[in-house]
Amino acid sequence: MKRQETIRLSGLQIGYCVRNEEHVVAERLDASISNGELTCLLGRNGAGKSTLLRTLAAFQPPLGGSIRLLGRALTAYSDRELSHLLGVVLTDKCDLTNMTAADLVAMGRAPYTGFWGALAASDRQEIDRAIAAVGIESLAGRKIQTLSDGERQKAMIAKVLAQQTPVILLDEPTAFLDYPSKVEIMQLLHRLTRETGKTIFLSTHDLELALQIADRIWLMKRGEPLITGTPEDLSIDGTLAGFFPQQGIAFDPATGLFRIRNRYREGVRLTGDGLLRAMAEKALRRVGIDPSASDERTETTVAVASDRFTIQRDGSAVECRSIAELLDALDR
Amino acid sequence: MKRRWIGIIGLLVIAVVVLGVLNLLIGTVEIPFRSVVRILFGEGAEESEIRRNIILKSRLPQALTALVAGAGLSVSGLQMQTVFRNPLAGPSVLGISSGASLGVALVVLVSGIGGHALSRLGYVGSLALTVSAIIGALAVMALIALISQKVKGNVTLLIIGVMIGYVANAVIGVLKFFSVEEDIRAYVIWGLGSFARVSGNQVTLFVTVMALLLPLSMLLVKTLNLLLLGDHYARNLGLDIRRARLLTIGSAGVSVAIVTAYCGPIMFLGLAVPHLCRGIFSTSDHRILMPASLLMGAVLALFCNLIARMPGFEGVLPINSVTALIGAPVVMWVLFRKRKNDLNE
Repeated sequence: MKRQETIRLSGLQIGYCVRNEEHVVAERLDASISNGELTCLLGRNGAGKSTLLRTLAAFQPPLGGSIRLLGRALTAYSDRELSHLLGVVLTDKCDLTNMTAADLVAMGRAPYTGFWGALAASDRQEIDRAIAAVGIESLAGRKIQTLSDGERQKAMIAKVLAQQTPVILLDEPTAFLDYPSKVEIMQLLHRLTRETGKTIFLSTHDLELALQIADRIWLMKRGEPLITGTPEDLSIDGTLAGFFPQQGIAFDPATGLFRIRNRYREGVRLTGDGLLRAMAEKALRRVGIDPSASDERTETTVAVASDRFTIQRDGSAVECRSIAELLDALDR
Repeated sequence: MKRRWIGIIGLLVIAVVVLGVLNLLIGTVEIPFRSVVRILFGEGAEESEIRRNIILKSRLPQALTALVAGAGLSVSGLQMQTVFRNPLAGPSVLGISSGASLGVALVVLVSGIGGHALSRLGYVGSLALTVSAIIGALAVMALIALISQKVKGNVTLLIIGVMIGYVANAVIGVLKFFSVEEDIRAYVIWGLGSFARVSGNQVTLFVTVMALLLPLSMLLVKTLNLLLLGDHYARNLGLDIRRARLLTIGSAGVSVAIVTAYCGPIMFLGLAVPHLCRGIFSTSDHRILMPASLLMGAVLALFCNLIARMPGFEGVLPINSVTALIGAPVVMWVLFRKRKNDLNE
C-alpha cells in the first residue's frame, strides 16, 4: 500500500482561550502523520497530549498555525463532513446502561443513517465486520455496564471502525487496562493500520509498548519542539536516552527500551550464561547489587552453572538452588 | 427481543383504553356503562342532564387532561434526563415549573395587594392563571435556552437551572408575605396540582396543543440516542450539539410549561416514568423509549386520577400525593427486580 500523508501540522500552536486570554500549551508543532501507520504520541502528564488530540479532532480550534486533513484545512470541514473522515476514541467515561455492545457499535453508523437512525442491511454488515475485526462477537449481546474495561475499550474501537473513517484518533486507549489487554489493544490497532490502510494516531503512557509496536513516535515535552521518528532512529540518535532526564529511569540502547535504573550498594562478579544467568543478573540489580562490578571493587564471585549458583567469598563457597536462596546467602 | 417490545407497547395501548373507559365509568355518581356510551356518541337524549354534564363536562375532560398531561410530562422527563445525562433530571429541574409558579404567584398574589382578590373572579381568574403560568414557564425556558448556547458543561447548565428555580421560589415567598390569605390559599391549591381544573372549553385547546407537540418531540429520537454518548462522541458522529441541546430543551420545556399551566406542577411522573420504561424495556434506544414513555405516562396519570377520584377520596387526595404514593413503590420494585436480573445474567 502506498503511504500518503493524511495529516500535516505546520507551525501549530495549541492551547485554550479563556475570556479572550490565550493559554498556550504547546507551539511550533510541525509534523505529519501517514496512513497505514500506527503513530504514538508520548509525553509526560501536562505536556499537552490531550490538548493536541482534542485540537486534531476539531473539538477545539488551534490558537495559531494550521492542521491539514487530507489536503484541506481542518477548520474548513463541517462537523458533518468530519464525521465521515475522522473517528475518535476518548477517555470520556460513557455512563451507558441498558445498551448492548452491538447497539454501541451501531452508533458508529449514525453519520450514514437517515432521520430516524434506522439501520439498513449494509449498515448491519459494517457493524458485524467491525465487531469481528476486534474479536468481540461473543460480547455483542452483553450490556455495556457488564463489560470489563478492556472489553468496553474494544467495543469503543469497534464503534469507531463502524464509522468507516480513514483517520482514527485515540486518547490513551490503553489506560486502565491490565497488561495483556494493553498489548492486545496495541497489536489490534497496529494490525488495523496494515489491513485497512487507516491512519491511526494515539496518545499513551505505555512507553515500553509504544516503542515496541508503534511505527512512528512523537515525543512531546513542555517548551520544546516536537520530535518525531521511528522508535529505532530516535534511540540511535540518543533522543530517547535524553527524554526522561530523571534519576531512576535508564535508556538501554541495546534493546531500545527503557528500564529502571538501580542504585547499587555493593557489587559482585557474575559468571556463566543462559537463562539462569540472565535471571540472576536481573535479581541482583533489583536488590541493589551491581552484577558487573570490576575486580578491584569486589571480592565476591557468583558463578552460574546449569542448575545451581555458587557464591565464592573470603575463600569459602556457598551453593544455592534458587534465586531466593542466592539472595538470602548474599545478604548474610 | 423486538417482538417482546412490540408486545409491551401493545399492552400499554390496551391499558390506556381500558383506564380511559374506567375513568369515565367510576366516580361518586354511578352511571351504567351503556349510558356512558350513549352519552359519548351523542345519543344521550333520553339520559338525564345531570349525567350528561358529569360525563361530558367533568369525567371526559379530566380523563383527556390526565392522558395528555401524563404523556407530555413523561416524554419531557426522558428528554431532560438524556440531554443532561442525569437520572435525577426531570421536568421541574430546570426551574421551568418554578417559572410557571412564579407567573401564577405574580398574578394571584399581586392582584390581591391592590385589594381585589383574583380568586373571586371565576372564569377570568382561571384564564389569567393559565396565561400567567405559560408566560412564567416560557420566560424561564427562554432564559435557559439562551444560557445553554453560552455555557459548555451540562452540569453548569443544570445548576443554573436549579438556581433560577430557587430565585423564583424566593420571590414567591416574598409575594406570599404581602398577600391576603384568600389569595395564598388559591395559590396553594394551584400548587397541589390537579387534572380536574381544566374546564370544558380549555380542555379542547389544551389537548389540541399537546396533540401537536407530542409527535414533534418524537422527531428527536436519533439526536437523543447520540446525546447518550456524551458531547464529544456525539459531535464526532456529526451531531450539532448546540442545536441538539436547544431543540431538546425547547421541546421538553414547552410541553412542561403548557402542562404546568393547565394542571399545576405535577410532580413525580416526569422523573419516574422514564426509569420505569428503561427498566421494563431494558434498552436505551429512544426509538422505543419515547413512545413507551408517552404511553406509560398516560397509563400512570389515568390510573392515579382514578385513585384520586375513587368514591370517598373525592376532593381529599391531591393528584401529587397519589402519583408519588403509587409511583414510587412501582419504580423501586422495577429497579430492584432489574438489579436481580442483571446479577443473574
